Amino acid sequence: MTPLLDVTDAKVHFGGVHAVDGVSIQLQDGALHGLVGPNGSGKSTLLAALSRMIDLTDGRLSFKGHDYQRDSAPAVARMGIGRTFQAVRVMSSRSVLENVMLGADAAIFGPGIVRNWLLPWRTRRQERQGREMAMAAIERLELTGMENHMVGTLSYGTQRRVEIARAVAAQPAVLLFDEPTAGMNRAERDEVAEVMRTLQAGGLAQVLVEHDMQMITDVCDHVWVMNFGKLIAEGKPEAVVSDPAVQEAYLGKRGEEDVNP
Amino acid sequence: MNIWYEAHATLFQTTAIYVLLALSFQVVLKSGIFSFFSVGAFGIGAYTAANLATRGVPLIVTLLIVVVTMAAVGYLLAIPLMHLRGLYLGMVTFAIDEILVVVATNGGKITGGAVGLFGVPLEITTLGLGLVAVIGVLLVSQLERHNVGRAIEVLRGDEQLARSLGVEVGNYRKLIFALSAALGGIAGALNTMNFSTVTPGSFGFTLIVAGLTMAIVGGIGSWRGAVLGAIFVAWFPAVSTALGGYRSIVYGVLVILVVAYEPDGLLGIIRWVIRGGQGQLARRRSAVPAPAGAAPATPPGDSPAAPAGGSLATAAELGRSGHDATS
Repeated sequence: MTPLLDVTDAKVHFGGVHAVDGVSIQLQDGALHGLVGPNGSGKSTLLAALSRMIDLTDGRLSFKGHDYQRDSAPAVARMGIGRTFQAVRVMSSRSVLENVMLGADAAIFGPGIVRNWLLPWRTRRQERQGREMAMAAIERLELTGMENHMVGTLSYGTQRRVEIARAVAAQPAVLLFDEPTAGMNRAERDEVAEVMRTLQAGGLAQVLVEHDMQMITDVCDHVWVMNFGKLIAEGKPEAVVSDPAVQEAYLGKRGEEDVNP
Repeated sequence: MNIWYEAHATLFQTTAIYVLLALSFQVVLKSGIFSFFSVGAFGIGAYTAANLATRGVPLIVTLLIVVVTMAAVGYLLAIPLMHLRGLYLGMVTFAIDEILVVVATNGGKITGGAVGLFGVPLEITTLGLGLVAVIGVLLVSQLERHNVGRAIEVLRGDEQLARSLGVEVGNYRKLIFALSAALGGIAGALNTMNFSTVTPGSFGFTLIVAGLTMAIVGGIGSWRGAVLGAIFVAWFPAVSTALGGYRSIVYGVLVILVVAYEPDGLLGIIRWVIRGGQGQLARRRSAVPAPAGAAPATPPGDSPAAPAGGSLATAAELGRSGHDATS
């Protein structure tokens, strides 16, 4: 069976810095994989490459059998690869509903601008459909009742959920999370973990970039470990945690974290 | 009423032309594109219309030619310019405007040189001017609705986020630049056909200041702001004659006050008054990054997103929108 996401020998080099240096990974439909590694190991760069935010120096990206390493980021997003960012990025003076609808827009209205601009009577129906998709996502993220709250007034954890709802509203086939629980307390982390498990139960494939091993072992069924831009281990979370190479990269030489590229 | 209207007909005509120019500035500024090309387009439109009209081309045809040409010029210009951000784009478009003034001054018969072109047939009526302005308003107001409105809002504050959500940021920027050029061009054409003259001095630095003032004082968040700003700039000198010599000072102080304390411009003030002086302030405290020291209580990690939501803001803030807002 063709994997949903198939990465072959991906390389991202910034001059002499080999941020991602020959990584090959596969993600099956509906799987929830973790991507871990020390600071600077290249996991966020890999995520940026997967969402086409940055170019591969070399290698191949394939989504449902279609090579997309040359497609643009917006096209890749519309194709069904959603993502979130490390920092909360929302329209803070807009309502929860408007923010989440923004996620559904590309899927419903398509990439055309002129038609959507000049034929507002035609887009009214699509607007209603987008609202329904957004409300469904809002319900899934348990934000019901908050749809008219301005996002800037909500707590940090809730804003995170708005972001996830926005990504979910696009109805992607795979969702890439870049440290979604950074800066959260344990209760908020558990909430996000619960959301991810629910999304997986609904058939959504996910990749979770994360520092917190607890979170990884809680939600992921498979883990990739990166260091110095390379994949150093992969497998079940429990097995990976006890891998000596992983322990060395992660725990044994903690003092080196800051000097890694 | 009728006598009053007759006496102020010129002001109504000026207002219609200013509305189009203000919209030309507003659409780009709202989208985070710091461009002065509106004024360059105004100049090209003005000279094109003068040449066509004196050769007997009908009004409608002249206007259509100006719109289509300027949209095309804007679109083509956007292709190399759109990788520039903030003040860099501002500098380049300012330089283009200045080059166009030099070209007009030395353009021989086509531009009439330093004295410009005179005696252009007066074909347009005040009603006609108003009609074109209304069409401009309709076009721009539709950019604020539905997904297009949301896309523009997000691409202004956070281009990378917009791309990750499937928004074709490059196409939006090119389209908006083309629309801005078309609006500026038609404003210039109408100006020529209404006042029958065009000179190199009519679209220089002064017009950039006037256009920016209209858009920013009115409030760049919406077409309504551009309309308000245009009315303000067009009518202020006429309604403030009682101030005598202090008129310019009062005008300057008003502009500074609005820009410094109300990032949403006159539009923001009107909305604030409508809400009984309450809603807007609460909104400001919670979300909008106000320039004048008002500390917004944004949650941790929100800084990159803040400009995305806040209704913009000042020229200074625009200057740094772009790459650095998408860290």
